[in-house]
Amino acid sequence: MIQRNNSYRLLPFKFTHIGNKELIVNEVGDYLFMPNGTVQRVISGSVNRNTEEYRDLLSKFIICDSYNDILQDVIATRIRTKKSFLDGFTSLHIFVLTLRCNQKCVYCQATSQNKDCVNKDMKIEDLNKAISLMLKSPNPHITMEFQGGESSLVPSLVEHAILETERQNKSVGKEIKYVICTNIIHFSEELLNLCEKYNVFVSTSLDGPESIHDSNRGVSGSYKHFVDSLLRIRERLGQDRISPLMTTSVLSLNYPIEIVDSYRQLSFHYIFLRPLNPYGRAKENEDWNLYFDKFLEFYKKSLDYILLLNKRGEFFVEGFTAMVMKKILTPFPIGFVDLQSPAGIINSVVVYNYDGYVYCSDESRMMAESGDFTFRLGKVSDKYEDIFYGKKAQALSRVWATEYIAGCSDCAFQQYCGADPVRNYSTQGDWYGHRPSSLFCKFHKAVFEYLFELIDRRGNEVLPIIRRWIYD
Amino acid sequence: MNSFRIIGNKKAQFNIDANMFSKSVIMKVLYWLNNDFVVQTTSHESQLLVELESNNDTDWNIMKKTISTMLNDFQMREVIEKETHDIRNILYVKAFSNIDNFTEYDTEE
Ligand code: SF4
Repeated sequence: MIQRNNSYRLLPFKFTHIGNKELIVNEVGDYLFMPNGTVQRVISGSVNRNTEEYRDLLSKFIICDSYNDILQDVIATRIRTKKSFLDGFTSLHIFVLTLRCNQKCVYCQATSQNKDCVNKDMKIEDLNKAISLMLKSPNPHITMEFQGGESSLVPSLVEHAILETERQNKSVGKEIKYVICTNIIHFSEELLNLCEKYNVFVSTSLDGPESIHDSNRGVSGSYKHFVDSLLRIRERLGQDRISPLMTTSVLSLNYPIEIVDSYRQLSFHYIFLRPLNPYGRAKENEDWNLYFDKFLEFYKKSLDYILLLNKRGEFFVEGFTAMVMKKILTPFPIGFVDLQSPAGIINSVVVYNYDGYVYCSDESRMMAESGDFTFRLGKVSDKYEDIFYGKKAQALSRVWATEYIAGCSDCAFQQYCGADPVRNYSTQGDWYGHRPSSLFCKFHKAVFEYLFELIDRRGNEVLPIIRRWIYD
Repeated sequence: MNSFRIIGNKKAQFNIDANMFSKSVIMKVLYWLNNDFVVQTTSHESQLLVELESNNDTDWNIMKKTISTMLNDFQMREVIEKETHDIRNILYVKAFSNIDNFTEYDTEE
């Protein structure tokens, strides 16, 4: 250990260079921009007491006067808060009720099958067992999400799932939030009644103006059906009970402003700019390096436009930025499974597939469709402990935290980023992954750098807007 | 880092003094280089000869500065890690030590 003549101690921190400054980030994600050369001076003991620099470093837990108990307790509590998403264990339980779909999305990640295909719906016995597993989760707050394929093609399964959950939950007493993921192309009265009765939240997808939406769906007339159903759902359930996700196809990349405007035209005040994932049908057709370079430009243009709208007085949120900024600006974790460490798989999300098996994420069950069962955790009839704490879950836990995997363990963005062994395996062939060639790493690093540049250069202008997004 | 030699557009060699940088620091730098370059190393006493070869044209003057910054940065990270290793462990142990309802499950494959 270096003996410093003015006797301060170092606390764990990471750093990187942004522009001509050093960005220093402590163990719980608090950051400081300092002039280049600061880290060298900090570790060599040259920072003088009674300076503003010393006080800044002290208040951000980069240095301390001593490792006393009170300080340790404060930082330990902060760490615990940052990782509090682990407290209840798995909260999001995805049920793939069918693989059948009525659209042909160009980027389909779910390996969906024709709507008339047979043997692609979940069996009632499997569904009942999966519900029992879900209710064994220690988490008192559960989100049960119906996915596909297209879940509106199996309204009777959705209804059974809800009724059976309500029945089994009588003796368990968990708080259950139901979400149906659907393209709302044919959203029946039967489903509307169910959603109304059981407070089901409708999660849908809208990719932009009519031409882009229809082109991405691979079926003409989709947009018109979407708008019709949207109005019906809003009228019955209320304005805020339906929310869309946007997926950025190759075509979408050229229309950042038009896509944001299409959301505004339909009275949405929120968009989540989501890139394609290299799974399912999307995997085959992309030069992923080029795609992510272009997506980054798309993201920056859209975000700039959205910030301008907010400056003009319109409240409109970009969801991805809001999530990342919440990690940067607040002591709290976020519920976005891609950016969690330990990873979102198993800890936050699990998938009960139509085939009666349990997978550790949506991507894992998609891989299973192409014959790769690496991330199959077990059958719905297996013991809860064997699925959730079994050998496979234990093996995954050795590679699922940014705090200890190569590359991430030194990275200044470690506290904001996530580890994903499934993505590593799917794109790089092994669970551990190789950060220098990882597109996940390249993309997220670029986003973090961009957002920190924004904070540094335009903080006075953008931070009040982003704080409203986070706290409203 | 010393004796940085550029060999055509695609290749460069340089020496790292292993007395100045630990093996771990050197390996971390090479780790981040091996996506863009084929990296080969040869040891001569305390000198490590590194050869980088790329398929693409590289601005070696920028690369030289980048590698030098990486070596310094990883060396500083090593100092921070060594000095804070124990306190970091203590902080994590304290953060999660009061989970009193933890159950050891007997699981099988
Ligand atoms: S994936 Fe990349 S950006 Fe994210 S923590 Fe790891 S090294 Fe940093």
